[in-house]
Amino acid sequence: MPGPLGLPWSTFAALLVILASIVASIVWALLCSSRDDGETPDE
Amino acid sequence: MSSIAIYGTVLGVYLALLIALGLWMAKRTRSAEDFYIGGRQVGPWVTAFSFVAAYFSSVVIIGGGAFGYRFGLSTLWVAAGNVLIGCTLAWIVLGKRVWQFTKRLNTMTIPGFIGRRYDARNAEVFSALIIFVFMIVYNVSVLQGMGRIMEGLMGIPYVTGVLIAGVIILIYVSIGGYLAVVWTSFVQAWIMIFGLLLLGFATLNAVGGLPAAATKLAAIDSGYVSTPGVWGWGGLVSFALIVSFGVWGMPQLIVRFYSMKGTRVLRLGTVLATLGGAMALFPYLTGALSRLLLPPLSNPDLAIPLLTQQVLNPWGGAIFLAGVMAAGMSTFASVLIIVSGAIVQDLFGDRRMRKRGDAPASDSRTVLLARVASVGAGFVSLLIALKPPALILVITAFSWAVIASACLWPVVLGVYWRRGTRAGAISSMVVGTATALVWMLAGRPLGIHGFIPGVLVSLIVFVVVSLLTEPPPHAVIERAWGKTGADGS
Repeated sequence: MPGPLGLPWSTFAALLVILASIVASIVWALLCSSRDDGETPDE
Repeated sequence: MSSIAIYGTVLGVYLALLIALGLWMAKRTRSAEDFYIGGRQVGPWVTAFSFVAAYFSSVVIIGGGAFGYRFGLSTLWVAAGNVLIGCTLAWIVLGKRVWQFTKRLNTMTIPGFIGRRYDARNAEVFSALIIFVFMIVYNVSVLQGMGRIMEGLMGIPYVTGVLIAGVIILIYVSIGGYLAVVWTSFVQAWIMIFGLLLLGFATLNAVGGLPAAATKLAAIDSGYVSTPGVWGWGGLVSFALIVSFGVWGMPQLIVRFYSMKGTRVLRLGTVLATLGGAMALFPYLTGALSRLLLPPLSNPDLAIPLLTQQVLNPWGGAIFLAGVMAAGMSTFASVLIIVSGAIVQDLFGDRRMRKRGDAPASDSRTVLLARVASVGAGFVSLLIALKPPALILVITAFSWAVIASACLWPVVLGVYWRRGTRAGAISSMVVGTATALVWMLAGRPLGIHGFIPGVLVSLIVFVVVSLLTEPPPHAVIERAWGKTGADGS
């Protein structure tokens, strides 16, 4: 039985992991930026 | 215009661009630090895309496509591992610490880091030897991939193709050093991404979209659309780990963190590397879908070249060929810099000269030595590649397994675990390397690749021996972590 978007479930899940990695990298970068605002430059 | 003329034109323009970049960067390479790590002045875009270009070689494109053809859509999990573990997590976990530690320890190479972090010259020499031997072996497979694709798409004899690719890389690496490598890799990453997107969308169009293609593949064999499907868990998991987690011990990729101009590069760089890494999807996906478009193949390595001829016109095919060449050349060039560093800096470096009472070499002499070493190492790979000893993926997986078994934990734990000792690092490297080698020479018992036991045993030995030996001297810890331990570590 096909999963979301007509894809096999495991294919959909693998694509979801790739998308989640991209989102996680953006969130991590934003968190780093907000933590470092106005602080010292790099060593 | 004949298709061969179109291929020749596109490839000629591309190769001329690489040499021009090498000449331009030669002017900016004055010291050993410039030659090996670009004077630690590389920004996020170039760092991220050169990481991606060095990561995904022609081997991944051709070999990944072959795996997709053989095992179907379950290979998309390998791509998912490449993106999550090999790109996103590698940058988040290792990037900042590797930059900080290598700067404090004033080192330009992985063996140099291991030697100074553990205050162990023998560990430096051992890792330099492993890198020297197995990186040259790895480069043979990369050259082999380029020779095969030129042979398949352009009809150029294999030996001629290998010579064209190898000589051009040797020119721009030896004159331009690391800066030439990262800038050419930056350009090459975009050509790779464009070529892969072109082939990916043309293939999806030819099979009527992914859902329709999945239905047709399932009709052939449901194992082509399920996970682990026809591959089985053992093969899928071990291969995914080698090409994802293995990155954490690969010198040509970790060195990208050395050369950043600051840790702020990591913010945008992590996002860009993840986005660029997502292109790992396409070799596996197009390889899996090619089963619907190609007649049964006795050699799956032909899946991508044949698919290219079938779904792209000569101009598209030429751009894809340039993309595959870009993938191979960027990896080969990055590895040459690493091998040159292992020879000049770690095996016969300034430290050794000082020990003998000689004066350290001048910048111009060190750069000259680095250039000679990179040409020499490239020449050796070139000679072996003219008559390669085995299949492409066999050589690649073999060399990655040995290097990762030797270097991964001394690097990763070296920046996270103060308790890691000299004895722990050395014994982990020796036992890990031996385990990986013996496992593979024994014919891969249980169908598991040597990478898995090599890295597991290396971790266990590192932790156990470190805990059984005296903690590292305070001076060694202070030199690596800084006087205040400001990392919060």
